[in-house]
Amino acid sequence: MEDAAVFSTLAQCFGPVDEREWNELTDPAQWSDFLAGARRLLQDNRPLGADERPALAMRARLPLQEFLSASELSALFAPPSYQDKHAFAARHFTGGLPDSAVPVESLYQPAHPTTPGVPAGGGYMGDAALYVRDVVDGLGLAVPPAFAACPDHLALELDLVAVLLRSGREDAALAFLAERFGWLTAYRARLLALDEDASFYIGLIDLVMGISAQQEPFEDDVISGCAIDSVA
Amino acid sequence: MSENAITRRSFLAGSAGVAAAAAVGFTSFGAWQQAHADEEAGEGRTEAVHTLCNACSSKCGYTAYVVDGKLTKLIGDPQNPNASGHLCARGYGYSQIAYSKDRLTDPLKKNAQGVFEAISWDQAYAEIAEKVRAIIEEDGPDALALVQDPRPSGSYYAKRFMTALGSPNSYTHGAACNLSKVSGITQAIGAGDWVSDVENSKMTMFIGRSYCDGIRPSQVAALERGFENGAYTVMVDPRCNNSTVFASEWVPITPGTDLALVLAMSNVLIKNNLYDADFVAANGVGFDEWAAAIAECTPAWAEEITGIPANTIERLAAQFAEAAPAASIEPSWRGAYGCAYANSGETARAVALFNTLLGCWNQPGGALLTSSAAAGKLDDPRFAAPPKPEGTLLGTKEYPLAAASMGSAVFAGEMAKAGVLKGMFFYNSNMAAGYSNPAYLADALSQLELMVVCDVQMSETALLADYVLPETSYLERAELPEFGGGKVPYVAMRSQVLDVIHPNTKSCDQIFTELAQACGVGEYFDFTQEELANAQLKTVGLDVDSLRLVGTVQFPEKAFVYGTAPKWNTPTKKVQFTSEACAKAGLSACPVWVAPQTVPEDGAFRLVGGKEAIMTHTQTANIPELMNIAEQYGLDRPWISAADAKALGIEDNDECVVENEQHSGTSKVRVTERISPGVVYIPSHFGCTVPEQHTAYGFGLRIMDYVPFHIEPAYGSAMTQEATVKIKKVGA
Amino acid sequence: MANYGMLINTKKCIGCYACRTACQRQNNLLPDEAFIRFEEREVGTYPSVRVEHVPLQCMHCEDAPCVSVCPTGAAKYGTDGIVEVDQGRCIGCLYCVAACPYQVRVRNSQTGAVDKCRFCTVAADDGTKMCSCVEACLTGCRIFGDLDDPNSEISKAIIETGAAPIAGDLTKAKIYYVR
Repeated sequence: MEDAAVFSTLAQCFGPVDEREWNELTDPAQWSDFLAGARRLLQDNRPLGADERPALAMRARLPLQEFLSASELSALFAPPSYQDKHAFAARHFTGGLPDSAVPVESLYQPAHPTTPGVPAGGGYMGDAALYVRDVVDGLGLAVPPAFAACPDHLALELDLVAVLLRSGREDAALAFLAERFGWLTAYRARLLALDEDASFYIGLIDLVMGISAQQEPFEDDVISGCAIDSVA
Repeated sequence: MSENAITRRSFLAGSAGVAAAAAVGFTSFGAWQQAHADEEAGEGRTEAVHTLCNACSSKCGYTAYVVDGKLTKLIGDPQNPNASGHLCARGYGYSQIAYSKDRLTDPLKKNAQGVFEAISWDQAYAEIAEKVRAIIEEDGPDALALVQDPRPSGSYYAKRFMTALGSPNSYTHGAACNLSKVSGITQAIGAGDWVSDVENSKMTMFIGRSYCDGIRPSQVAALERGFENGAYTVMVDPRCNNSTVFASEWVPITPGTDLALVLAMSNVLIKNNLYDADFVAANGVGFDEWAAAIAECTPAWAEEITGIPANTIERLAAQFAEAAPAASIEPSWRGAYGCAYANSGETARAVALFNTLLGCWNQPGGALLTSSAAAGKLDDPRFAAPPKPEGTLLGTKEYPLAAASMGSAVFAGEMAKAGVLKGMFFYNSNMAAGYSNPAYLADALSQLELMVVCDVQMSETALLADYVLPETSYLERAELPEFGGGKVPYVAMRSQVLDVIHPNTKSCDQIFTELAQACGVGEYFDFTQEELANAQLKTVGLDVDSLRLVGTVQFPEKAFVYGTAPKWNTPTKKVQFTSEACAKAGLSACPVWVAPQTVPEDGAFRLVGGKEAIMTHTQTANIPELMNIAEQYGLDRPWISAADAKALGIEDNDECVVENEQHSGTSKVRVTERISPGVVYIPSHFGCTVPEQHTAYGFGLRIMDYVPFHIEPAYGSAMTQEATVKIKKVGA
Repeated sequence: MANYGMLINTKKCIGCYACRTACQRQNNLLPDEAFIRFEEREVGTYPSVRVEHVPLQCMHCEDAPCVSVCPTGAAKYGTDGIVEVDQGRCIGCLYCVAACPYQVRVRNSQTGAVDKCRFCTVAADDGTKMCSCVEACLTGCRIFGDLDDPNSEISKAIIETGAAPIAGDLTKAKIYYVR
């Protein structure tokens, strides 16, 4: 599976999809393709979106076990049913609940309030949200109404990586990956603290964090490179 | 298989999964931040919107400045009579609720395991309607009730919803606020309130009310002007409250004994013939009976009860006589006799009668019976009221003096426990934490077959509910016009300041309209909020668009005129020194001494509550800006007098155990000269037990934990200060 | 060239914190970042007691300890007698926080840099005609203006009320208190 598709799949795991879409996504062949793609991203020494170098492709492939704990692994190999996914989202990806763990960056990474009126201290619509909204605008796209309060929802941030990759902006995708996913450490801790088993989602988070770590050597150039672009 | 339709699906870019723009612009976050930091402030698109605050029930008008969709500055509107150009600390801080991380985002249902989960609005409405129907079929509409802390739209929509269902049981939070005050005063003068004209007075006495702690900016200004104009202002309060900055005298009093003070001052006026006999003769009924009944209520008698020296009482009464008619006792609100003691309603009645002795009604500097603006009759049949429910408000029989506009919400709690009420709706109300004993109320409300709470964040009450419906914050919704009274009646309006933040939240008008439709009574809600607002405003020559432009419109042609002869809207059309209704309710026909029912045993303290200027009940405690002040200055700490502390070996900021037979908790205490010995004060805002309120949770003591569940005879209030506590140093 | 200062009449201060939250809101500060600090003093003993609230904020001293101790020049004298913080140069060493006798410099928990009252009216863009705290004060405790202009409201009020800096001549502070 291509890198973009891996991120699209990850995005759909955290966002609202209907039953048919979820069943298609988690169809065994489709899902194992996704896991294989994710594993390559964890292992390959190449920038996001770049072709695998033949020499590398021949190298022995490390199994996912090398990157994930046993419980996460078994959870990832057996994605939840649509009903379970829906129920988990209803209890945890919903605001204001005892066990809320809404995957929204502003809630986990209080941004420095550079913009007038931007609330600090971990409310909705922090700098991260405004930034992602501007990036989406810059792509000629729009934040879907369901995400109006949280353009910095994990589903959209992951989706954005995929969109950038497909739009020929591998550098931007890499820059975005480098800058946007630091909050997942705090978010992972939140998922761990839930009463309910969240191994599946923790496993997905670990994939993202692992991929992000693997990309670190390639990041510096692209971030400074992107700085000269203008949003407008 | 590498790329396919499934993995191409994108929330942002649809099924193509690729950006449409030919040249894809992208800026790194670092560069984006720098660009924003460099931007000249004020460069964005600024909008100014007149709206109403919601941090307390004063609903001050202000202008909200919105830059690129984000709220920036808030400036009180000079033309709004409550704001008079200012907001209080809460007004600025509470605005941050809009972006709070603890906002409710979706309708919730408690599942079989007792855990909340998000459901769709359709499912919520359908299931609630199903249960409402079942309750009505089984027990009739009288088994349904509503409790709300009224706001412009809520008081119309929520109550109309109940009426449409056929239920007479609409309650306000009054039983834990100002029910006794309003009801007692009404027995005396046929109106529930007055305005003490402090700024023009020669003397004004405040009893358990502090304009500078429970703040409405215009009242603070009036107090300040009065003080500067040389008014003799007296603060009767167990605490040296912050209004004493503008007071001539602080008169500490034993909590719950204000009635004795008022009776004794009345006694002095009558005995020494210092009262306005002509006014009393012309306006009163039953005066002689009252005069006889309080003949023994001398200052010396009152000294024993109140702790105020007899000569002070004598002097204050004489000063009042000297200052009359430019003098009055201020009507107070919640603090001393709004809902606090077994004698609260009677205290209110006595205060109104005392002012009558002064002959100060409608006199410059006296007690003014001002009127309110109101919408006229609406011709459009869509706005016609639903048929009046056949039943009567639950509690009317048991607490006949309770103002029908409020009812006794705590009695409703008791009826939930008794199984008489089966379904309850709560709007903008945190009854379970704030009205009376939380443990009792949690148990009572848990008996309900259906409990629906509409709020913006989880509350102690919402935690008990079967369904929680998420409302937009007050900044994200327009509401019906607010018609208000005072020296110059006015109408003001909350306009929408921010776009709706969470797409799955709704405004209360929408929620109750859709609930009504689901329950089969949608015919009474066949209009939009704006259509209704326009219809109401049309009756006073306005419309929504024009009111939106200015926020508040005053009606100077309806302004109060000094010297207007008051109309007494009592059964006798007189000031009632004796009230038949009170006698029928088992009280004395005229107000006489009634002791508070709680007597501290040895070593126990009388417990009092009260507002801090930065908080409103339990509603604002989850705001980081406001809670940070409480943390920094220890505003949650109980107060104990320096003398008592010394005797107990307690020093300022010592960790202490505060306990009674119901509850025990520990807290640092504040040792102060500003409170009467024998009294412990616990502010009314803290001790939140809702983990979802990340800022408020677990900070400070909750005063209601120490208050037993009980109800004031005849008046129906929660008697929120009929409680005692003991206090000791941790480890002592 | 003006020489800005402020007068605070503590006899009228009710300790309501409106100036603090207004300042935070209008200047877009963090919830725990407050430019105004309060001291409360009980005068006398029960029952003959009164309360005094004293709001404190950067006094824009002419002889400012924060400026003298700042190793990078981030704390500096600006124009019109206003003491400024160059956020870009602040390294968060907190020397100034320790040196300020009025304890009114605060660390921004997000950036680590130090900040304090800026006499915001001078930089005001929209909405407020006056410093946020002056505008917000419910009782009119505060007067802001040019100390060098003998006809300014503040200059007249200082003479009329005998207002004085809270610590006398210690730092040549430019906030005058009526107490």
